[in-house]
Amino acid sequence: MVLRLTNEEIEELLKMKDCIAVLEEAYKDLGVGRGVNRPRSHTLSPTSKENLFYRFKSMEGTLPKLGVHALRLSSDVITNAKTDGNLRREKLPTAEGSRWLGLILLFNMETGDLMAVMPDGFIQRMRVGGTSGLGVKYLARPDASVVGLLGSGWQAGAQLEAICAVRNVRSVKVYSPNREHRQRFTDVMGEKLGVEVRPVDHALDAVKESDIVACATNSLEPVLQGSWLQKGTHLGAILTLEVDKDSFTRSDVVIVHTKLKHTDHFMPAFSWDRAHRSGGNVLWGERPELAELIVGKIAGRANPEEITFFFNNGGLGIQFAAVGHLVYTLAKERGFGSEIPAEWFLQTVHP
Amino acid sequence: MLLLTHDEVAQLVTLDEAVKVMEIAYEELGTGDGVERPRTHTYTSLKEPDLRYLFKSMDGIVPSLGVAALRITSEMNPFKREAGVLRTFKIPLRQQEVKGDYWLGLIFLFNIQSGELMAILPDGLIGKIRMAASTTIAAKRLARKEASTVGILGSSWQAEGQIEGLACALSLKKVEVYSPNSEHRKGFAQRMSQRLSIDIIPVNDPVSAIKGKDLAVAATNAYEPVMRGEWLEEGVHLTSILHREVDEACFTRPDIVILNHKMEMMDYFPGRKTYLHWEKGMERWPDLGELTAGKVNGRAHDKQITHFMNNGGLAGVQFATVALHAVKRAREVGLGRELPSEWFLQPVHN
Repeated sequence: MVLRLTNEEIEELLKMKDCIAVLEEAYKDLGVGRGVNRPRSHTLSPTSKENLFYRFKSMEGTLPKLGVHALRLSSDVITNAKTDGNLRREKLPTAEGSRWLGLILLFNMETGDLMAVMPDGFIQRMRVGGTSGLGVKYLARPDASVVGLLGSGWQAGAQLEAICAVRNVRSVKVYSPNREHRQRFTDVMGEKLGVEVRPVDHALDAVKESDIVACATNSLEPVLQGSWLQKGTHLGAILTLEVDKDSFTRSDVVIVHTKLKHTDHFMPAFSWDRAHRSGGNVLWGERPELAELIVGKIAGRANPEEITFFFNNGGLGIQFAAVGHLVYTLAKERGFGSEIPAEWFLQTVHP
Repeated sequence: MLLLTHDEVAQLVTLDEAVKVMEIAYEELGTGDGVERPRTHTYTSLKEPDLRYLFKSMDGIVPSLGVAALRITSEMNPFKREAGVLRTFKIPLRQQEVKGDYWLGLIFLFNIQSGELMAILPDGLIGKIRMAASTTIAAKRLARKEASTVGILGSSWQAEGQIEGLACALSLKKVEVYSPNSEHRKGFAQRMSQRLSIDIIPVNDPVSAIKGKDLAVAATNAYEPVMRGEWLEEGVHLTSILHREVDEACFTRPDIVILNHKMEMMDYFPGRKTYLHWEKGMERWPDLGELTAGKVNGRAHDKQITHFMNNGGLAGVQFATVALHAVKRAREVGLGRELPSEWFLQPVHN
């Protein structure tokens, strides 16, 4: 049977501590050359409506130790719209019932079977948060207890949850430009995590005297200045543009999530000469990566004075393989999800 | 969301129809409006030596038809040396749940105006038909009109598709087939002569199969050249599938070489090893999209030697067009199983 899960079911099953643990194992495999990632690709075309584009996104990863291969895909209608004076890319809920389409398909590599079909929404948040959590685990001072958070969206929540899973956090300061958002975030997360969370009026207030600084914004401009960072801080960021150049140059240790820098974009009139490859920023292009840090191929923090920076760039298929497999295993144990007949996806002839 | 079975697809698509819809897709690629994401192969070793797990994926968009398709396969991938040549084989999945031999290959068809998943179809039949249809589309433009004799190397389902593709474009009278396994070539001759009502004769050496024929075909599982350019005579049209199964002369001797597509394809292995499926210099040949869109010319006279390499990677748009055709027909005749769309949708985005 093929297991089908919903985001609600996954949310009930997947806890941040477990998510971090399976991701850690996945990076160990990757670090010793046992995992495989098929880098992300985007296939784009115009739709029949002006200013609306179709984008098909996919990536894959195999983890032989778990015996799974994961395909993560999304099928989106996107538009470039100006909100608050900034050009932002928006994914429109054009599917039936104002929904989006993002799926993880999990395959058994020992048998070739399709094991599960699950939405990618909740897992996506958790794998980004969990990976940043690993950056904190391996780079932040062991006694780090004060957190400064820039951002108050769902990814900020996942970041905070992950930090709390790997360090004994005493207090959290949150800044985001919208006062209401940060207040709501403070209320919800304080209760959820059982730590002191308070809103602050300026980004600098959040950063000052924090042991761990985490950026989880949707900003296409730097919200953090490297010059604000004090000795001994650990910095985490997700987007290239949300931190400035100094954040890279002032840090004593910079680790990136992956050196797989490129997303290949395939568009009408495509030719490899004009291939559009995004990523590969010079600031982080040649830095060591998380898997190397985790298996000890490169050193992390040398002393309590150093500033460390984990740049959680890009997504990898093995993240979906590791977390998808965990969710699948928990669902099987606890009888979650619904089953689809396996023969619906099988054929009596070979491809 | 429509789910179709192999048997249903078999009732819904014919090669003739596939040729018609795929000509649209090729033309659109030729003009630069269609989009293709070249195939990737992701390999991992299994405990057994000579056996790997292979996951293939590719996708493409045909904007004029408003569809995108993702095609995937999840395969057991054995490889071994047979008749002195390293070959790969297709074996069934090792699943226990459903009795019998099964394979997993799926086409996901998406509506580009809404992003929705329209249908899931097994890829087996369409996979074969689209290869045959490309061969037809090329042969219509590259083979001599009166070409009627064929020599073919290979006896697998790919070889079947190639003969069917040629038979769709031309009036075939006689076919000679060679493959190293005499059982296989006899089986092929029997099956295909019945299916196409053509005289098909198994022969025991590749040279006599190819020499003196109007059409030559390489459709093998060989990792090394088995087709030699020196065997090609004036006026012949050669169809091949893989670069690795033909020698260099198969590219230098012909007057016209057309590729199915000009895209680099990538294999991924553990430890970040990659392998690029691209032979240096291939980019100098035009592709079937350009030929179909009239950007380059086909055969000019009877003496020319032509070669169409049906390198199979260009699959996204092929699957998109043929799958859409199958889905439209299924809706007309009421075939298939409707699944709730919400199974594949979510109220959040990432």
